[in-house]
Amino acid sequence: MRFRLWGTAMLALVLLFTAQVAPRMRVETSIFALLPQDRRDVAAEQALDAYTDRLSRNSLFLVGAADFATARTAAGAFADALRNSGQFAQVRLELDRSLVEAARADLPYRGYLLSSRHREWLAQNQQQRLHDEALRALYTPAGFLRPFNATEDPLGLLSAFVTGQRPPTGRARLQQDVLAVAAGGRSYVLVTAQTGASAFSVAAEEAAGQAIAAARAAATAAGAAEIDGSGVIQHAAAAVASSKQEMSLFSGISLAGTALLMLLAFRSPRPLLLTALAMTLGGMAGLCACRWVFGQVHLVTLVFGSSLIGTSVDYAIYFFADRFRDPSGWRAEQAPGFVASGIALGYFTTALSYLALLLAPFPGLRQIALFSAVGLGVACGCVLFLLPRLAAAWPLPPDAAVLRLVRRLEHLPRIGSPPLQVALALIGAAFVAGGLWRLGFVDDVRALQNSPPELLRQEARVREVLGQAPDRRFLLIRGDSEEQVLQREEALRARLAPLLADGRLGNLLLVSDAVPSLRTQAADHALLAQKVYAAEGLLPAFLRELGYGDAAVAAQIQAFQAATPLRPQTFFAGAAADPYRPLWLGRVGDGYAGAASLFDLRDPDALARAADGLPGVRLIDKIADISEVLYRYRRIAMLLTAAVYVVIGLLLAWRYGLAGGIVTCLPPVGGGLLALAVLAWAGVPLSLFHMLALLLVMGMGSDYTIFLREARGPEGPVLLAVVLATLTAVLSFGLLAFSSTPFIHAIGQVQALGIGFAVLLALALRPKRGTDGTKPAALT
Amino acid sequence: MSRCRLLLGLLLLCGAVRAEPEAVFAHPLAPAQMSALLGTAARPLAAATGLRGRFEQRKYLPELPRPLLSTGEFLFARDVGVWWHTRTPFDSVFILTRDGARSRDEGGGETRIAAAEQPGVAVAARIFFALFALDFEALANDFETYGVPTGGGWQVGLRPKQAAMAAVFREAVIDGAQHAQRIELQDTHGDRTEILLPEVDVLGGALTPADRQRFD
Repeated sequence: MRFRLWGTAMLALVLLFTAQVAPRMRVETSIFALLPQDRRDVAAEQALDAYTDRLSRNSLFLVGAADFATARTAAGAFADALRNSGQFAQVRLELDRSLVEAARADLPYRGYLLSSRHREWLAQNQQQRLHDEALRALYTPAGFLRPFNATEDPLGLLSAFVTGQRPPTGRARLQQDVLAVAAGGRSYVLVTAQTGASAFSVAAEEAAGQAIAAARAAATAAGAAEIDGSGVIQHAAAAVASSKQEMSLFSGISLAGTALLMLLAFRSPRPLLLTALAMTLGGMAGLCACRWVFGQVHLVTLVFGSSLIGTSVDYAIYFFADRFRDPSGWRAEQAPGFVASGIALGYFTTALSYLALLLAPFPGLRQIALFSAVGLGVACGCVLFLLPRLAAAWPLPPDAAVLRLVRRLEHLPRIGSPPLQVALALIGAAFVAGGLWRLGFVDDVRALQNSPPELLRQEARVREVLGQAPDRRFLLIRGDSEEQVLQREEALRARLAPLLADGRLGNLLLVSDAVPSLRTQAADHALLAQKVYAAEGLLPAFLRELGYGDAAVAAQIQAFQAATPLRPQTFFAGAAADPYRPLWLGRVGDGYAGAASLFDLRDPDALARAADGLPGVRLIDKIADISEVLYRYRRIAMLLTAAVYVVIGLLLAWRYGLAGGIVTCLPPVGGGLLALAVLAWAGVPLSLFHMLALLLVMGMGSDYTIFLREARGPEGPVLLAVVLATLTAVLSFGLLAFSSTPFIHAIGQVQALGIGFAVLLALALRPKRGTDGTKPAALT
Repeated sequence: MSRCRLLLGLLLLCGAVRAEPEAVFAHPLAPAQMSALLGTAARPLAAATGLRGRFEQRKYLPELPRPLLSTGEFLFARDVGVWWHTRTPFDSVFILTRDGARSRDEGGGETRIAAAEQPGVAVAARIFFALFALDFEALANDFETYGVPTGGGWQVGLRPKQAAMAAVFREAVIDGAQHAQRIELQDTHGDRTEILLPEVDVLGGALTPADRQRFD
């Protein structure tokens, strides 16, 4: 009955997985997606997400060669390769005519746009300075530098407004039709690329990474000596590539190792196949649950979970090891009578520690917890309900090597003599205490996010060559309307003016630099009407001084009067808005938002002070915020770990009595503490992820001590199961310790060490058994 | 009929006025052939460290009946930049170097534009330097080059290669013999500037300290 029910459920699971989940699987790769969100300000988070999402689409490349011509040719080959790959929505190398014309698109709005310098002059009635500047432009080469000529913009008002905007291309200059920069005896040409809206799947990131690699090869073939890139997509592509490699390597080795161990131990393919069945069904269930609850699966969940599902092997091994209890008459249907309570209790404690992780508001960990709890639960169900019917006894000659091993294991020493127990306990306690005393912590998220050194070098090189470093911090400006956002940006620029003036802040990019608020535009228009375009104003006088007739004067005044203010919608419809587009977040929540990007920020504290108190303005430092969150949750995780240990301890005490509970608890607790102490003595600073791994040590470590306690019948088969399970677990977690992703690495370290110690303790402290003649033995 | 003839006459007259520049643009000339066109006349310029002389600049604006005339003196130092001293109608010094541009008035007021802040300045500086040095290899990066011999000298035409530059700047015509004598710049939106360099000395040795100071 149970077999039929469970079998039907599993069939449904397979159908659901193949039809619904697998085809639409979306895998997230950013570490930020794993981390807790700041839920105090939802709209701010949305704006933040929108901004970082846009920024992360942008890539910038410098193609360098000994001379400009070669660099230009190589950059052409690079850009063509990127374009032809189809992975990028936009690839820009040449600045075409439309772009220059777009920069002149402000002409119809000239009656409303003023540079801050000219605004100041006019407000202070210093029309003479404007007059002199305009004359200088007409009579000296200074005029050649203006984007608008004398007929279009006699006083140079609009030219000053346009040239006052400083898009962030750093030291790069227009050379022929591209942006180029010279540094260290080389010439570099700038190529920018943007991925499309749907670029955040693993496949797309991988394809983009391959496209970039192909473009690099093409540029190198065309003579490029150096190609430096910066942008999130490259990091994502590298992360995907390395995780994928690790995932296939680690799971390959751990699967091969597990299969080999099982074949060696059981001498029959059937246990192996049935174990694989339980693992596969467990994995499918875990993925379905993640898809259902979170909508997507994180790459780390896959890496971590694929190893964790390996623990489901433990239940199957425990089940099959029961075969050796009765070499001649074993039947699979009887096995649950001997192993079910151990498996159920083992799963129960493991699931308990995962459920504790579910409580932590940490999306990534909740995913891992859900994936593991569901996956292990299903695998456990398969062992308990499917295996008794599907498994069958395989021939086992009485002199089989395994049987000899099982009998030998029954003589495995335990620490029975109290003086030795006390001595070892004291040594262990001293070691742990010394370790805990030395314990150091790390919460900086940058220590947990790793990128290949080569990519970091390239990013540093891009900053160096361009001579401009975008800061990781930025300002978020929110308001009830677009107009309010722009007004608040203007207030912000006024506050930051002193920092810009003395170099504490290198550059600041704001949408309101290009589209002032309507309030400012109206004020500027009024100022111009009064001081410049009035009958007695500067412009008529200036034009007459040059020799223009009345008709020309009238035409200028008419053009001024016909001008309309520049509105954000109009501005963002044109190509001139391109540098500002990522900054304009538009509608967010029930308001609007814009971002200000900061360059060469040399005094972050002064910036924070200056921006403080401005309504709607918030300084965002995601790295610091996340590090703060990591610190908070590391402390929570420590408490959580302690709480889980206590709960599991109480559970075991309820079943085995106080003394039995303590003895059963000691292996996982001691294993965890010893693992921490080893890391501390080795000088490894602990992060949140080490703490969370401790929880998992508790879950798995308690399995083994429970198996040993719950075993009915002779001890040998259980010991074999525990040894095999430990070998497979240490194999898979030990491999995680070699991961290049710091937090997987951290989890692997604690798990491998903790489980190793826990098993040694469990074996040494296993209860004495009288029924099968095993003698209590001293440690030899 | 008479109206037709008048129109025709006007057209011819326009044609006559524009004949020179139009003519040069019918003769594309690769930069490699430029030295043949410039002949022996411009050869000393290759070894020169600079030029010094007087200038007359006339700016022709549509709708303005007479051009805006300015005169003064200039110094071009190959490794340093251009010093442009306008004396009439007012006193003003304009200095263009690779690092940027600045201008100084008689009143002492100074305006600076760092090349780092205005990409246009660097472009202008590059073209200016190449024009004075008659470095057509450099100019050919940014311009299509044209050239014809004239009586005793040469005429060279430049048109921007890149659409980006063509959007603001249409063409330049340079007349000269030993060095550039007349430069005419035509922008895309109708303004035209003519610069005459009637008296020019080719400088051979290093800059005098006084000259060097002009750029400080």
